[in-house]
Amino acid sequence: MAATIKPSRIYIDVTNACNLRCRHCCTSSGCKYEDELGKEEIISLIHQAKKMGITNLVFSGGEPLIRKDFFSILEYARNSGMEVTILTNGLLIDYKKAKTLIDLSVRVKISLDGACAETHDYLRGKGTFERTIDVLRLMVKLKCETLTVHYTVHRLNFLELEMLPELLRKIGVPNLVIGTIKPAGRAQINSELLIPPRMVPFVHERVNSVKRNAGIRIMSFSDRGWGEFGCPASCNKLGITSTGFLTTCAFFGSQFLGGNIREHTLEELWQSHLARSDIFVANEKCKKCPYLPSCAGGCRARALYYYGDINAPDPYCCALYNKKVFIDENRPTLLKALENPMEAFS
Amino acid sequence: MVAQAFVELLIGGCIEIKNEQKDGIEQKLYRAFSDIDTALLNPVEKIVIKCLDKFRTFGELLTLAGKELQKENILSEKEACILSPLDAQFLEEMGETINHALEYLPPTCGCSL
Repeated sequence: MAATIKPSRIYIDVTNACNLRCRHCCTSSGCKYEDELGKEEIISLIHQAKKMGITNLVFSGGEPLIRKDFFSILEYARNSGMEVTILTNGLLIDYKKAKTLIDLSVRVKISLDGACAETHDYLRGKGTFERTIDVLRLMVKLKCETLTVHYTVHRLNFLELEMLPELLRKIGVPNLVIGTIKPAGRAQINSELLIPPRMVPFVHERVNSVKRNAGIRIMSFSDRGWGEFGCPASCNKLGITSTGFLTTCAFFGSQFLGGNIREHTLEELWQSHLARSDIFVANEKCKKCPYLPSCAGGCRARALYYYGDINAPDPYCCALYNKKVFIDENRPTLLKALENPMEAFS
Repeated sequence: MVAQAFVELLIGGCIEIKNEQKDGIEQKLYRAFSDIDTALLNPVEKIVIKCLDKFRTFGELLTLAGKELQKENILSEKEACILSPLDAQFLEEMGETINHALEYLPPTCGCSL
């Protein structure tokens, strides 16, 4: 079975260099590595991905726009027919770059991590909020229909989430993605940003409410694995680090890196990943859980962080399952509360 | 306001429920869990949690929270009248939250909540 599984998406970290040092950066980006992939190596990688039937390419980093040859790589990727997304902090986008990104029909995903300067700047650096807003305005002015704001919910910006849609509507940003902070990279050091599993059902309730009432297009994650685990890192996406190593998810630690693209073909790396027996094995608790067909195991990086075992349960998943159990158990009370809350809750 | 906060906190797993017999009638009592991370709560939710420092009835919570909201200038006296449990706004606010909760399905992707 494994040999026939093909990934649909590839993430390529084109550099580890970044103009920011965000407190929650999952790859702890900052300085460029000496042995990062060259332009020809990345182009070969894209060519191989295309041959494998991968149609979706995400350029990440570090900050991809920091590379001087990035636009020629981007152009090659688009000319090869790939759907391309770039994950960027946006700060290096000027008029000319904005025009090129739009002309190439690249999906531009810009991170905004607060609805006010204080919060965003705390995470990303002084003055970055205003500069990011300026770039968003520029992209809107140039009619970038794929422009997407990525808001990573963490413990210190959660209360601002409700203000975000209005801010984005005012600017004219057409799309929003709401993600959740992962215990990876610098977020592990700055653990005060992490949302305690205890609070996940509550946070989830609020995120859903904001999504329902946002009045702006919400782009959802639809990644889903196969078999027992839902983590797409197991089967439908793969990543290549800036130094060429296979990584199925940026949120995993370096101990889960695979082989290097300088020594193997992409197909070989993928097959060797699928053949690994140490990851993505359903644990006993998950196997017994009636919710497994729905959650399919949740996030493996969280399992690793909270339990030190990549095959452990995802505590967020368990918390959300408990919420479902609570609602089911209290369904009569909740139904009654719709008509007479005083009686229902008394 | 209080009703919606109460329901969201209840569904969000921040409040525990205990059934107790009083004068031969069973009643529900509510108390906030002690390990709630208040950094994630808005002012009204914080008050609800504060008022549920021990087991209380729903009615007691509404009265107590209403007073606290006025004391902290979060609600005016007029607005606090909305706290009547049969008020239309009360039902509307809470109804939306409950209706969505009844259709709740946990997410199928761990990358996002």
